[in-house]
Amino acid sequence: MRALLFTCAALLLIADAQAQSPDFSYESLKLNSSPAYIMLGVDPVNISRPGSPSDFIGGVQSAVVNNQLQPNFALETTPYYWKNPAEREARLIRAYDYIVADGNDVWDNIRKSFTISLATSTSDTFTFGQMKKGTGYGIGIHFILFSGRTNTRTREILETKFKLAPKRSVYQFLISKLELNGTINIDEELGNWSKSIQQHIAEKEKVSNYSYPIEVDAVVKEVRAKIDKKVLTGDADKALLEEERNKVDAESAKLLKKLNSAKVPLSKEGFMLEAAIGNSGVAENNEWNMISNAKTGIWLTPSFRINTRQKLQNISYLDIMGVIRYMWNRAEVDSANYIDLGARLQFTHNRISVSSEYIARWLSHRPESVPGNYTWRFDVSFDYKINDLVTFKATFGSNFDGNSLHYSDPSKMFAIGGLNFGLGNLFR
Amino acid sequence: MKAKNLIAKADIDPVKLEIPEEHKDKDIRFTVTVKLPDEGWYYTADHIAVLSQRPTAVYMGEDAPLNCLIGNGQELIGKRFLLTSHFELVRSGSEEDTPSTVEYTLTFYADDVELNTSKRVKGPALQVNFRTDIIFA
Repeated sequence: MRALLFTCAALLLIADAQAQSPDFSYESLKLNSSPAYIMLGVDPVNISRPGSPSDFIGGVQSAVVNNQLQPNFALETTPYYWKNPAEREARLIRAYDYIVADGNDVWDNIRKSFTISLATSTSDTFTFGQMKKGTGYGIGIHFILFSGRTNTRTREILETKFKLAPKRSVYQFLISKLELNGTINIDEELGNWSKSIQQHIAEKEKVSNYSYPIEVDAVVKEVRAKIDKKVLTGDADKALLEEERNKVDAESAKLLKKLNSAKVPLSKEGFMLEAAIGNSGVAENNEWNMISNAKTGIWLTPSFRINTRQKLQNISYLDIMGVIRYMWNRAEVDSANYIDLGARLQFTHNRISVSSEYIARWLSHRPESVPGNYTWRFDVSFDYKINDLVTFKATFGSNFDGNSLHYSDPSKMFAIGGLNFGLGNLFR
Repeated sequence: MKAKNLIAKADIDPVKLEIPEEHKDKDIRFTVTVKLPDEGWYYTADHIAVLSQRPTAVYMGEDAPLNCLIGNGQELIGKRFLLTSHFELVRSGSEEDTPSTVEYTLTFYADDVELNTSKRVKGPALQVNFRTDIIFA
């Protein structure tokens, strides 16, 4: 008799210790398609658009697999954020990330997104074939190759804003030097500022906000044209410099207002590509000396995001995602390997997200006892963000039908319902 | 011995940062840590640190200074150090229109020994400035 692979997951509890996504906050709470979950066969969603990495994200959920309640636990961690604590790096807006490379620096993307995924769950005989019941474990890695592009409007505003950065810097430098010394020779100090900023640009591993897209010499000339004095001294000259700096700040404030009129201006759009490798095994009878390898998989997840908002105040996206996966099975798990090819369509509007996915799975060879070499998974998901910390999620559909040892048509329905809770602040 | 912590009040008038005798032969460094407590807010930054009698900046850049060398303790005595940090906040993901506050932590070290740590919180505002005016003693 065919069993349900999933029925009703009661609760999804997700904890993130510093989510980095400049998207909707519930996207940073998703641990749905973690490679470790996929290898264990307890993934609530098989295909999802890659989220921004976190230094730590963990989750527990309960699923009914093969008609039995199967609690499972997963965590993901991104080593980049161990070395660079999130509060130092992640929320600083850099010209390099949003304009210069803009998601196309593959090595930089891999370095920042390389994530280790671990999960454990009780094992069942559908996912793990003839292996004895016990504790299943999943391990995996995933990383982003292409991370999407900055929205055109955001890009234009940021470009204008970054042009103001060296202007503000030069006025602030002159003000500080005037405060320290009481009197300054403006040509001499402009030379000192040029040396300082060029040293900074030379020391930067990536393109500095100051060096893009404006030339330092052009800024010096502009300042020299505005301040028609050789020597600056006293409060009156300091006020003159402060006035010029405040003009730059006022111009920047207008740009900030424009940028902030959109809800998620920093969200990346367009093409993203993520790669993943996973492995799972089982401790049969829950015994340490009976730990055996079960499956290994490798896959690519391409996705494309289209911004469909009509008003700046709205969040509205259409995501088209796909997956291509090859999974090797140990003979006791399945006599065949799997080739998966799937697609997912997701529409998000403010607090609501609706999606559907279809994944076709072919067996690498069909034993004579098996009626076909093809099975599939189909689901429809609904997400509603109740508030920044809690998201309701429901998924209905049909899952892959086990393996070539227990083959039948995937005609039965599975349902997962639950809540995601963000507990990030507890870890800070 | 830790210096008396008046640096959190160094926004307007210069305050003294005493380098204890046993650390005067060490390199004096500083680190700034920036944190936005509220989710969904990002920032651009501009940090400039200058020191009296030094023509070029001690530090200049958008990254928060990390273990940045000011100079040898003995040579710094009597010199004035001015650090300004400017932040502009961009909303991306927050449901709230009110910007996050900015938590600004400044720590001075003599080699690896912590001399002084001060924490200031400003905002909520889209543009936030921190100024630290110090005379080494």
